[in-house]
Amino acid sequence: MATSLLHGWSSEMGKKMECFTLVQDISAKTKSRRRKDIFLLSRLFWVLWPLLILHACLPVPMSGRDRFTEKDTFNIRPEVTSKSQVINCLGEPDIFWETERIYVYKWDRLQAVVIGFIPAGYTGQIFALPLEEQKALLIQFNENDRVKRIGTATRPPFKSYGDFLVDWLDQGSKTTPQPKKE
Amino acid sequence: MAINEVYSVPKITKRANNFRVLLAKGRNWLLFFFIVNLLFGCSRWYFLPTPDEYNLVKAQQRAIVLLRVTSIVDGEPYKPFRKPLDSELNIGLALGSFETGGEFRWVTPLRFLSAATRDEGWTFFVLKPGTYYLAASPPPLGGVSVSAYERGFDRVPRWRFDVPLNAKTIYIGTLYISGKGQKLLWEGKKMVSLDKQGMSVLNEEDLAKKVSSGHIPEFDGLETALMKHHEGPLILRTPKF
Repeated sequence: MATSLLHGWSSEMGKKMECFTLVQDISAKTKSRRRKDIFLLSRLFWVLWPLLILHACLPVPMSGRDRFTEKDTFNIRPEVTSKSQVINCLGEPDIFWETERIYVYKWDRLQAVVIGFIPAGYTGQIFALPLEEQKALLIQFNENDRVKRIGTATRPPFKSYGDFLVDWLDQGSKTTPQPKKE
Repeated sequence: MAINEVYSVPKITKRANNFRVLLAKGRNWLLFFFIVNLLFGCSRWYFLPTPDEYNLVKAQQRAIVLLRVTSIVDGEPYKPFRKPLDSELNIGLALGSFETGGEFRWVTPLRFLSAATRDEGWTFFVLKPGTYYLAASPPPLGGVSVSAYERGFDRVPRWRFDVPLNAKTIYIGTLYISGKGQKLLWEGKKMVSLDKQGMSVLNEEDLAKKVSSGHIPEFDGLETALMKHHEGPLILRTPKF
């Protein structure tokens, strides 16, 4: 009697244990599926979130004013105009690069305004981000304080100001004809 | 009773397990933050010149530029500098050079030769030979971006100094600043505005020589080239190195 009871109990327990392992397997599978789903969703979130913000951004192109136009610099001619005449015409420069005798007049020119909406907080946030480019009128003088070269240049956003000035100088030395040595 | 209900793991133990896993995962981070905190608390980091900088100074491609700042707020002495990386700043300094087209860049964190010289208002820069502009401003207010704070340096007096070739150590003067302050919650004051007219540069050459010989005796022959108030177009020179 006891043995049969024990046998019955053990077989029942065996079944239960099988069921338990089955439940464990199923839960492990569902867990791994859930993890995969969460992983995919998180990926999707990082892709969609910037798209969502960009979707609510509206770039409005603007034609910003230049500090100096061609009319202002029309009278400045190489080998003719002197330093004092340049100052009379344009005013004092922002930078004087003493080593290379270069006057720099700087200004920021508005290119566009990005109007956007961020779905954050209770009411959301509206912002306007001005996109500007740094421009400069550069005038180089010769040893006699006469204009050697004049030009307008735009500073690339990730270039230091020093490199920008050196690049402009290098471009000039490439383009301007060198005097022939006799 | 369903088998699932009988054999499912109780929720409390599940939570406890999750917490244990979290703790195990986050333990390394906790340890990292603890060590960093310990180092900042006990360290004596003044951002001294690095071995590379020492070599460049020896080769006369860089110079150690000494500056002292003395400040008075509401008629009382005000310590211009605190510990590096301290969240509270007393005075902000900015430098403009050829690389920046004369535009000011906030110098942070500032560097000091020792804790004692820091408390006396001494700081130093390691710079290439060339022309530089210096400006001082009250510390940034909360919520102000770095670029906005840097633009603020254009509205305060600028001081020009030159780092000559072949110089190893230069003293550029003692910048005297006075201003108005605001009481802090627990103790002390924070400078909020600057008296632009009251700024001046003093010559404390003897003190500078003592500081230099005491902390950087390898580089004797301290040169004094006091900075000057600058107005008008920025004058830049091509750096030699």
